[in-house]
This record gives sequence, structure tokens and C-alpha cells, in this order.
Amino acid sequence: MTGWMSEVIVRHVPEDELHAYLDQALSRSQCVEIECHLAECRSCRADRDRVAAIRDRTTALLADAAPRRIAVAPPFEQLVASHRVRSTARIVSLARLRRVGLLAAGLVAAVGAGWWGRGISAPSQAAGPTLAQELTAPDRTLLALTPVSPAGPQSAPDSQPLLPIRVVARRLSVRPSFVTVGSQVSDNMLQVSNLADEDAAPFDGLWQTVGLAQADAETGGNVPRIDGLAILDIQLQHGPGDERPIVVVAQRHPSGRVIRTIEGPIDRVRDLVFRHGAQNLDLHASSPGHTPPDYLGDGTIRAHRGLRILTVTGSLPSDTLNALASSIALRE
Amino acid sequence: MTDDLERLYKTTYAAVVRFLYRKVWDSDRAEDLAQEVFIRAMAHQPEKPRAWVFAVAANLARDEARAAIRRRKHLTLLTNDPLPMSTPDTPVDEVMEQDERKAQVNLALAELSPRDRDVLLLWDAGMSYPEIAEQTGLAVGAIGTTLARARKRLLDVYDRMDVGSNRAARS
Repeated sequence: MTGWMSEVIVRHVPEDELHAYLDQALSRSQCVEIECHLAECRSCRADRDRVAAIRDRTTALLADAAPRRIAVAPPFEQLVASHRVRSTARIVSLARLRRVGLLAAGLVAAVGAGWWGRGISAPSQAAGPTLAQELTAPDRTLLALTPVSPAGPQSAPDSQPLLPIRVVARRLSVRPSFVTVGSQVSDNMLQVSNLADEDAAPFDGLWQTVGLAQADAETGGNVPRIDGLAILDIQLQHGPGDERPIVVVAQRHPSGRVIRTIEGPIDRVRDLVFRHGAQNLDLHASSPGHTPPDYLGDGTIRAHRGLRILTVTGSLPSDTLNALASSIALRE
Repeated sequence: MTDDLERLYKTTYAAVVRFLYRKVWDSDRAEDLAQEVFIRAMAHQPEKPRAWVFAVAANLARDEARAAIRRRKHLTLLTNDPLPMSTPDTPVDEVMEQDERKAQVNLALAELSPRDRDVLLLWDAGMSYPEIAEQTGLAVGAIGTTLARARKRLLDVYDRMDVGSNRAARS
């Protein structure tokens, strides 16, 4: 008993335990033990006060190093919208990868089968054309491979994948007038991968067609465009409050195609892209990129940030559109 | 799960911004990264969202620092650092004083070892010892020791710089 008592008095509370004690990171029994000791030991009480001062000063210093503006969380719905845009873009790119992969696999299989078929049927030409020869015959290809024909889904084998067929058909310059997309493809994906027809007036609603000078004035000198390409027209649509307008800049790509750069509040750009989808199978959109946000006042001194994105649309491969989008420089 | 995340977002967003700010020293960037963290959390649906959010924030801040180093050569040719701006409520000298203090804290934090700095900033972001331990890979028992060392070092370096700057101001 005497030994234990002397041990308690001699064993002072280590400094790291004092930090943990003041940070309330110890168990109740540990706290009780330390408090009993502090009641008895003047030296440890002095240490506790010193550690408390260090802790308080550190907290104050770190508070000095906080951002000057109070961070106000943007509405959670805005984040959900960003998440949806990103998920959709991911689905589209995965589907595209899958399409390319299936096409490559199909070609390899066709070549392999042709090789094998030639070996088997080489002595007798009456055995019919090889699979590779069949692939080059557009009518047979459509009959053999198109799972959903313009005539209706009843003529299509259910198990065939749908997306690669579009690629084969396009390569053969035979385009079905209408392709029903199976249930494995979401509506969003269909809409994003098939934007509005670029030759038609693509955007409904109240749009203002302006010159570059006026667009510069309206956007603070930040008209989103690809340097070196001729501008065909610039359209603006104003939103509510302090929000900067949504801007659509049409430019002529060296290939002769019209590409459109759309910059604006995330929800409005997303809606625009979705609403005008499903009219042209060849149109694609680039991955969205963040642009400088809007700082929107709410009547107090605080402001919240409205996220904005930019995307480039056109009848060009997505990689090209992504490269074009990433070449755009916007002032911060 | 989304409700949990929404609750976490509302309660933790400011702490995540503060945590990121002390790593990237740019409030806009810190807010962008914080939003990025929560968007990623929506996609991943982590089991322990709070710890996950801070772990991803630390990783993003690290990537950001690397990218900033890569970008700097290019950007210094194009832009200058903006002058500190004062709001109508805050006099210019006070703003400059705040900025100077902030720069000193920044430098003092840079003097800490990466692990000590992470532990200190995670603690300041409101994480518990077990959460900090899980994120940093330290034992829970070692967090107190690390924090004690980090706090003392931060104050030592800061005081040394403060003395230095006062001496320079007098001469």
C-alpha cells in the first residue's frame, strides 16, 4: 500500500497525457486518475496550466490562419447535380469504351473465323463466302447483326449487344432510320451522346444573339471560345439575380463542322444539353469542366458560390472535343 | 446514406474548407476542393464518411500542391499575386496585419514534419484521437505525443519569426 502511494506521488502526469486530458481524449477512469493526482501535485498543476496555455495559443494561431471569408456550404442539391453530371459523363465514356472494345473483338473474331473458314473450306468454293466477306456485304450485315431494325424489335435477336451495331452500320454507310436503345442504357446517356442537330436553331427559350464586344461586356471579358476558330454566333440567356448569363458560342472547326461551347450555371448547362439531346446521333459533348463560379448575394454580407461548368458539343469524337475544351482559357 | 452525407456536408463543410485552406492557402481553391471531396463521397458512399472525407481532402491537397509546383513556372509569367483587398468593414492596415500573421503561421506550419502538421490540422478540424489515428496510421496512444510536439514546435517557430520581424521593424 505504501509502495503504491509513493509510486502515485512520484509518477507525475506525462505531458502528452496532459494534452490528451485537455483534449478530452481520455477515458473517464483515466481522467479521474489524473484529476486525483492533480489535486495532490502542485508541479503537475503548473504543467497542466502551461500545456493549456500552449493549446489555447495554438488554437488561436490556427484560427488566424483560417480563410478570411466564412465558408458557406452551397446547397446540397448543387452537389447532387454535379455528381449526376459526372456520373452521366462516366456512363457515356464507359459505354463508348465498351462499344470500341466490342467492335475490336468482333473484328478479331471475324478475321479469325475467316482464316479458319478459309482453311476448312479452301478445297470447295461452293461452301459459300467467309465471315469476313459477309461483313463487307451491307445488307447481310444488317440482317445478321442488327439487333433492332427499323422494322421493329421483333426481328432482332435479344441477346445481341446494341451499341456496337451502330458503329458497324455507320462504317458501312447504312444508317437505320431509328434505333431503339435497350434497357441497359439510361435515358441520360442517350441524350448526352446524341445532342441537338447542329444545323438547326438548337436552343429554345429567350436567347439573345450578340456580337463579341457585347458578349465580352456581359461576361466580364470571359466569352468561352476556342482560339483560332471563326466565331459564327454568340447567344446569351440571362438567369435570375446576380447570376452571369449562360453563353453559347458557335465556331467553325477546321473539319467544317460547327462546334458549340456552352458555359453557364451547372444546372442550366446540364438541362440545356439534356433537353436538346436525341436529335442527332453524331453529336457528342465533351466532359464538363469547372469555370469560375458566381458569387451570389443573399441580401446579407455573405455570398454563396454558384458552380458553373463548360462543355463543348459537336459532331466530332469526344477526345477531340475534350482537347478543344481543355484548350479554353478562362480568366479567374 | 444520402441523408447521412447531407448531414455530414452541412456540419463538416466549413471544417473541411478550413483544413484544406491551411494546406493550399487559397480560399477559393479550398472551397472548390471541399466540394470536390463531397461529390466524390456521393459516388463512393464510404462506410465512415467523416474519416473518408478528411482523408480524401488531404490527398487532394497533396495533389494540388504538386500541381501548383508544376504550374508556378508558367503562371508567374502571366499574373502577379493579387494585393490584399479590404472590405468596407475592415481597415486596410488591419487586413495587412492579418495577412502578415497568416503568412507567419503558414511558414511555421511548413516547419513541422508532414505527419505532425497533419495531426495538428486534423485535430483542429474537430477530429477525435481515434479518427486521427485511423487516418494517419499512428497508434491512438501516439496522438497525444505527436500533438504535444507539433503544438510546441509551431509556437517556437512562430515566436522566433515574430521576434525576428519585430527586430527588423525597429531597425
